[in-house]
Amino acid sequence: MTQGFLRWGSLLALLVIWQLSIWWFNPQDLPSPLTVAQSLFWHMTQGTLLDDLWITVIRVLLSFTMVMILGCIIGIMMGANRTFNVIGDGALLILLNVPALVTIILAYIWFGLVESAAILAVVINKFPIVVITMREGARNIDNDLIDVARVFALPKHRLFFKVYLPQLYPYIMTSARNGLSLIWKIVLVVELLGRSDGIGFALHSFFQFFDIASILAYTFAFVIVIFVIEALAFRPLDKVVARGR
Amino acid sequence: MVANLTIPAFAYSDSPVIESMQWSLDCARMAIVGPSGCGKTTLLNLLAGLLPGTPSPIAHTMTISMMFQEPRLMPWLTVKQNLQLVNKHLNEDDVLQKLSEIGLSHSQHDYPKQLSGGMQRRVALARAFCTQPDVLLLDEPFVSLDAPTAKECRNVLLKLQHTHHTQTILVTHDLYEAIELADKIVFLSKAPAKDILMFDVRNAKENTSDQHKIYHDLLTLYPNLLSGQLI
Repeated sequence: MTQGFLRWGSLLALLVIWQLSIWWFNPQDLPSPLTVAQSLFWHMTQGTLLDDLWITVIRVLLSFTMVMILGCIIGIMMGANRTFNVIGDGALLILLNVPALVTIILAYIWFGLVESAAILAVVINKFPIVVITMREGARNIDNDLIDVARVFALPKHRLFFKVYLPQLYPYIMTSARNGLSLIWKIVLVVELLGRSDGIGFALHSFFQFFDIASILAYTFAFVIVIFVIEALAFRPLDKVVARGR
Repeated sequence: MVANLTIPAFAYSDSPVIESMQWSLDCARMAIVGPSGCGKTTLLNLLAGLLPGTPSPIAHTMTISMMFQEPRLMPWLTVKQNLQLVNKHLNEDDVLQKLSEIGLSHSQHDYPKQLSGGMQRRVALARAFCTQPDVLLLDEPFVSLDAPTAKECRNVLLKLQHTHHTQTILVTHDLYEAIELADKIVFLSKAPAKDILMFDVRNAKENTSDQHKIYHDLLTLYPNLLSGQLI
């Protein structure tokens, strides 16, 4: 009850501060919360916000899924196997430090301004971060518990899913949270640079017209989607992961 | 039941930890006692097949089970799930029966962290018997418990062993515990571990039921036994 009050209270306080600053300073480049809300309503009912939102969400979810699968597999392999880690470490360091913009531009140049190039650019940019977290998780596996599984002669798949993987759940959750927050931002850049639809493309159009209310309306719309994903997916999963720990 | 046990020598790189040994185990309950750091746990891990490149000398003919120095229950699984992890054929009634044997039939839905140290040991004990093992290896299983709780756990172990007719091999540094729980005790030297004495507790218990007397008589005869020396 108190936590909920604090959570929503702080958001409400931000809105109030925003509105008060509009009344006191009357800035030219910052529309009021009401103007942004009206813009949001207009884009939802008469504009293309829902279509743009849908396209971007699909791109985010597709990239996120690929990033998590690739990152988890490579991360676990690197954490569990020293030789594989030595082989992959150099490439990982390079991928972590290549600027996102370079990857996006190269993907568009090499593969054209197509959907697959956009997704590929996001995946290449973000899977190394998941690899880093999962590698750390695999290095911290409690071998004492693995020994229990070995003594009781658990079949390999049972050992993996019941003993090994649950130890990685906290790392997977951290990767997923970080991954999603970074991926949706990079997807907007990818859309801005080479796609003709989605939130990123729309923001680019609003920027050309200096339509700040629409920019903020679209941003809030997407933040709301992320809030929904957090509430519907991450929080319930958090509870599952936290069981018994 | 394992009648003859051949233990191969084991070394970490060039440093020998265990010398090869051959024991005749004409008993259901065996204890291995040795000074701290002599390689007792390594020896038990060797018997369990947990050492790299060294297959268990027991597991190829017998089903084995093990109880470690810590309970090593999976923290993310309930008590019931921990038992079902090692034997997926256990149904609800089987689990309840196993838990009632250790006096924890009301804890099946609890997670390990909700249980006390002693309760966790008892669950680990129940888990060890879930697979109906021929041989149960015990690595100082009650070492960090207070005396009354350790005594309670030892009683549970004796009861389960009697019910399931499982042969036990216990490693401990506590000679009292060995005398209470074993028919035969093998004493080990300092590292590299080598057997220096095989003591038949059953013979001693025929003369007296006082375990303290057995303890004192043994140490009077061999004062340096617990330091890993016969003389």
